[in-house]
Amino acid sequence: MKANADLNAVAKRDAKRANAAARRKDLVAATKTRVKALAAKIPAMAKNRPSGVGIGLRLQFAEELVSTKATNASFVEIAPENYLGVGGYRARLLAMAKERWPVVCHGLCGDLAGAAPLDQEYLTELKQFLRDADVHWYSDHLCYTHLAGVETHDLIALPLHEGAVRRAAKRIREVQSFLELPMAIENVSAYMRMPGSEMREEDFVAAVVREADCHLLLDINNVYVNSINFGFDAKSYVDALPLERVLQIHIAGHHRESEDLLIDTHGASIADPVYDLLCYTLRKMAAVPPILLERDSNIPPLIEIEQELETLRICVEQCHARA
Amino acid sequence: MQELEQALRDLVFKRDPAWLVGIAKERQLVYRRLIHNNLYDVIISLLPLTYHFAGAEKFRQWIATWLEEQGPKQRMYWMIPVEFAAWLMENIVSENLLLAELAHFEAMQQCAENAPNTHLSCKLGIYYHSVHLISDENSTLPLKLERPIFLLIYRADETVRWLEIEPQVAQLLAKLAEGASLKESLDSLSELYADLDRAYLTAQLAGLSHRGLVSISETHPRDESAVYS
Ligand SMILES: [Fe+2]
Repeated sequence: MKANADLNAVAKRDAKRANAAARRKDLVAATKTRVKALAAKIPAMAKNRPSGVGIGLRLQFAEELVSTKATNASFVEIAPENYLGVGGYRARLLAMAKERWPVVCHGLCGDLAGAAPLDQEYLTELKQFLRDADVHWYSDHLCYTHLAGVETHDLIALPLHEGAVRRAAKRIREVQSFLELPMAIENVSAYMRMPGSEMREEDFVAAVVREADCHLLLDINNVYVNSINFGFDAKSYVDALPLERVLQIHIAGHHRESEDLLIDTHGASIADPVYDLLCYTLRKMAAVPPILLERDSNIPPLIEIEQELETLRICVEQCHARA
Repeated sequence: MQELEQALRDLVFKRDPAWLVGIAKERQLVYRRLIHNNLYDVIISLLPLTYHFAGAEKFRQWIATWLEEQGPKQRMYWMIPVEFAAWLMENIVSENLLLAELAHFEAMQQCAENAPNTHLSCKLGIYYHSVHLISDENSTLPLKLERPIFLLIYRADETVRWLEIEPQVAQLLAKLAEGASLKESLDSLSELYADLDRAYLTAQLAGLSHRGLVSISETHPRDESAVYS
C-alpha cells in the first residue's frame, strides 16, 4: 500500500509539474503573442530612439555641429517646415544630421485647433518626409498658428474650454491616424487668457491628451513662463499633467520683461527656477524622456551651447539619482 | 472659434487694431509685437538689398500693408519673403519698378537656393533694371533699360548664381515651360522672328542643358511665379 501511495504521490507530483510546465509554456506563448501584438502597434520603435539631451538644429551652428567630433547632443530636432521639399545646403545638413543622430521632427504650423480644414496635401508630403527621417513620433503645438486665412508663423494660445478640447482632440486624432505615427502635443507659452476660457491650462492640456489619445511634449520653460504671466503655481500645474504620457521634454531660456511678464524667447540660458521645475518633474517620472534644449534667437557660439547641454545633462542625472 | 480667429487676426495685423474686450491692452500688444517682429526679421534678412534701398520706414510700411491686406499663406518659413516679394510686384510696380524687381530678384535667389534636389533650381527673371549688378555699396541705382534683360537664377555647388541670357533663348525657355516641344517652340518663335536662327538657339539651349540649368526633356522647374514680363 505504501508503495502504491508513493507511486500515487509521484504521479500526482509529475502531473502537477506537467501542468505547471504546460501553464508556463502557455504563458510564454501568450507573452510572445502579446509582445508581437505590441510590436505591431509600434512598428517604428525599433532603432535609434532619441534619448538623453538634444539640441534644435539651427542654421547658425548646424554646419559646425554636424562636423564636430565630440558633442553633448545625443539627438537633434528639426521643424519639417524648414526642410520639407528643400534641397541644397539645408538638405545636405539634414542628411548629415540623420547619419549621426536620431532626428525628431517638431511641427510649427499644425494649427491643431484651428477653424481652417486640415491641409491634406501638406500632410501627405509631411508623412513621406517623416518616413524618410525615420522618426519615432511627431510633435506640434497645442495652439493656433493660422488666423482666418493668414499663416502667422507664431504660436497663439487657444481659448481654454471644452469646445476647444473637442476640436483639438478631433484634429489630433485625424493627423495622428493619417501620419500613422504617435503624436505628442506641446503646451505653449501664453501672454493673455483668450476670451471664453473657463478651464485651468493644465486641465485643458490633460483633457486634450486624454481625448485625443496622444502624447505630451512637455515644455518646462513654457510652464514656468505661464506661471509668472498668469500667477499660478508651476508645480501644481505639473502635478495635474498625465506625466506617463510625456514622450519628450523641451527646455529653454526666456526674457523677463517685467515682474509679471516673461517672454518665451529661446534666446537666453535656462533660468534657475526652470531647472528646479525640470528637476521636480523628472523626480515624478518613472523614466527620463529625451530632453531638448531650444535655442532659437540670440544664438551664442556652439561651445556655449555645448556647455549648456553639459550642464543640462548633469542636472538631469543628479535629479534622477536623487529620485 | 472662427470668430475668435478673425478677432485675433484683426488684433495682430490691422494697422489700427481692434482690441479684445476685457483683456489688458499691454498683453494684447505682446502678441502683436512678437508676430510682427518675427515676420519683419525674416523678410529683412532675406531681402536685404531691397530693404537697404527702400529705407527702413518705407519698407516697414510695405510689410504692414501686406500683412493687413494679405499676409503669409504658406507654411515654409523661407517662403515668407518670397510671398511678400510677389505682393510687391503686384502693388508697388507702377511707382517703384526698380525696387519691385530687386525684391523679385532676391526672392528668386531664395527659391533657387532652396529648390529641391530632385528638380533643377533654375528660375527666370525678366528685369528692366540691372538688378544683378546692385550691391549695398552702390551709391546710385541703375537706370531703367530700354529693353528688358533676362536672367537665369540658379544654384550650383550650394551657391546661388545668375546668368544673363538672350531674349530669344528666354522666350524659347518660356515656351518649353508651357509644355511645348522644342520643335513647336521654335516654330512659334519663327512666327515672331523672320530671321530666327534655329540652329543657334538649339545650340544655346543644349549649352544650358549641358550645364544643368535647364532640362529639355522635362520643362520644369520654371514655376510660373518665377516668370514675369
Ligand atoms: Fe518648446
